[in-house]
Amino acid sequence: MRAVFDIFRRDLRARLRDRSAVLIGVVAPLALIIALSLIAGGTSPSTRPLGYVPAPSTTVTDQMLTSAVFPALVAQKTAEITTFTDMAAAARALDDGAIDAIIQVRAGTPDPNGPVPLGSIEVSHDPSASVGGAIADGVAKATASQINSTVTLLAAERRLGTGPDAADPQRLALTRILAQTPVIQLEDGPAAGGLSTKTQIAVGMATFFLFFTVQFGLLGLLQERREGTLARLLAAVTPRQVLMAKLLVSFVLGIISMSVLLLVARLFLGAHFGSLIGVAILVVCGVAAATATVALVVGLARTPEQAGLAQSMVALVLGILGGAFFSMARAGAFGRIATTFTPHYWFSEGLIRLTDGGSWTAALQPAAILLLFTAVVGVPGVLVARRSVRP
Amino acid sequence: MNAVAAIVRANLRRLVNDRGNIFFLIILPLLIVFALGSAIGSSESDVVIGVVDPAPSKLSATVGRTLAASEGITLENVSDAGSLRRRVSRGEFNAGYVVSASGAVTTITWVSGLDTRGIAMQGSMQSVVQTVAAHEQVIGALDASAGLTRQRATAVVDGLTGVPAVRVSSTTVGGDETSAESIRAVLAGGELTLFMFLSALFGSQALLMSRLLGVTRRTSAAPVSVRSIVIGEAVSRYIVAMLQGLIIIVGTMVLFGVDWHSPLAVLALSAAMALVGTGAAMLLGTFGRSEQQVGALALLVGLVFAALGGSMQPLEFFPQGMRQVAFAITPHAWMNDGLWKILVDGAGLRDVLPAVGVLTGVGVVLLAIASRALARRLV
Repeated sequence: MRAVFDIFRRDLRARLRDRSAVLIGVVAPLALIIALSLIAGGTSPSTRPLGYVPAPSTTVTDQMLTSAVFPALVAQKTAEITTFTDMAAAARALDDGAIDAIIQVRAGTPDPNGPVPLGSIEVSHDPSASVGGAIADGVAKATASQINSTVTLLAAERRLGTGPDAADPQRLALTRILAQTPVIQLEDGPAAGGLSTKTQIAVGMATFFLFFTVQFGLLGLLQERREGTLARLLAAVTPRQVLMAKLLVSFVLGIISMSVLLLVARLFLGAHFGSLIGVAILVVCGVAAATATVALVVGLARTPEQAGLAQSMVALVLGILGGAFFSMARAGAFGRIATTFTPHYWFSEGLIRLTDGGSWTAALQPAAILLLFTAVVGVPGVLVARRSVRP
Repeated sequence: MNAVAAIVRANLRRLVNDRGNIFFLIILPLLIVFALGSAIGSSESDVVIGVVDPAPSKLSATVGRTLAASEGITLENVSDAGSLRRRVSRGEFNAGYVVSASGAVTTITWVSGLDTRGIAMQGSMQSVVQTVAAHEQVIGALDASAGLTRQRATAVVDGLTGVPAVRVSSTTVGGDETSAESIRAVLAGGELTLFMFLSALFGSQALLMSRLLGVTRRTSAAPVSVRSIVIGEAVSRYIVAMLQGLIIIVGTMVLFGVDWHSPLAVLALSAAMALVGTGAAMLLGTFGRSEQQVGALALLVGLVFAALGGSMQPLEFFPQGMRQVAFAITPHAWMNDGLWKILVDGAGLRDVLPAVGVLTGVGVVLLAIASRALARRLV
């Protein structure tokens, strides 16, 4: 065992001194995490800016919007409302991109039940701001439905002669009667988990570059064989010890890379990963899966160039299918099935379960699948890699 | 000129003989365009809502029908609430809802995660629920206030005519909506920029190895001028970059039906970008110390510039400050902006000439610096 640790220590020191391992394991993914986080800042936040142009003289719709609908939207942080006195100013703001949509109330239909006209609503939205447009459209339709059902109720009661005074100025209070007789209602469920954009970026880049980082340990086998140092090494230790040391170097480099990247993302970029123990389990199992993959590639390759090239291909294909750059969750049946065969998918699936209110045990199932991947790929990998440990 | 042609021929033969290059030059870029197109193209165009409704009632079915009739919304049935939450968390659905009934009241529980479109959809869902509920609510209220039977209340409400109502109309203003086809073409454009630059940069490894193994020095011992060697190496890198560009342009046209709108303008941008890639590769190959170092730097610079320059997310969706940074430090931004103008705004060659000019200028400067440095090392 001492021999294994001696080789491991020497190799690890050499790899850490070699700037390419640090460049690929830490600098490149970190630079990409920062770059992608900076540009992701521009994707639509959930609070959207909307413009409101009231009717020249107050309508029931205006009353409803300003007294109930808009305060609720602002309180829920769904929208920010800017009031414009005329449509031309609102159109300019829409054109400049300052607001996503305009809710304009017109005098519209007179109300037989009272002196204040009902109003009508016109929504204008920019096609590129679909989220804001959908909110404005939903607000307009919901407001109209609420008023229309009140008006219908009044008309029905007037027909029956049982309703309140038709000129009741407190007509809006009738909406309360309607609210007290719900037949179908919408309520907020507990929010589902999921990784924020920045967390997704950090996890994607960390797992993508992990498959490049771990090759620096095992690839040394082929390089040392070419340079002749492996033959000299085998005069002192067994092939099994050499292989174990190289596997350990790959594994530890992977752990260092993942730990540094996730820690930096957590501390400086606001990424959120859930239970620390759960994350630690996932990191260990994820790095084991990556090390197993590189063992198989190195075992099958004849030269360091061949192994480097093949490992790059494997890392790129697994990274793309595993959703390191973009989620494959919506990529159709093939994408959804293919992605589940990658360690990247199960690593982020574990984190998703941790962020969905789960304790560290929530990571156990994905971690077990990562270990299964390690066994399926790693056992034949180690067997063929042993063939490379020869003078 | 014969010497230049011989150097180019030798470099290209090395490229073709290495089978791994088939993967990196042909399969990988097209695989990424395919995966991006199917993963992002569809998620940009459709909002997918998961629905758990084990025992559909007339009301909940009407809600589902009304929602599904809205443009760009797709509903997918899910067996249970736990599965719905997991799939919303994973991003398979933008959001979802669970229908449950207690007595006469149907409750729809909205489930959304971090997806902004899913969160925003709750407003639309509210309007659908209220619209569907309005008729039933009035009947229910009549039942409560006037003591009518449900049948009588329904007859009264349905018998009402000429009841005034608030009308809602919706109009779209501004530019044309970016279609899914345009989005796919823009994504392919981003990959075109990324891979042209990246492939050229990886070519620096070949130049470095020629230098380290003394091939270039031995060539200079022959009756071949240093100028010919430098030109030969630069032309080789340029051809590889252009070859990569053509593979992506033709491959995406044939395999995925991408419409490049103005091929001449796209080619002009590609030719200028290839010059930038050539200059950067010559610089890296001249100053690099080891194959590993150059490979790692090529990957780092190639991917970071691609991210900052709008190859991984269109520049149109960048925060304003980052857009300016992108144009200031990356050539990718100029090419991607030009491609957006061609693919989305329908621009032609004349409209992208400023971008072609900037890229050519950057390429010439990089090439001049690298050529001088390489020539000095060969003398």
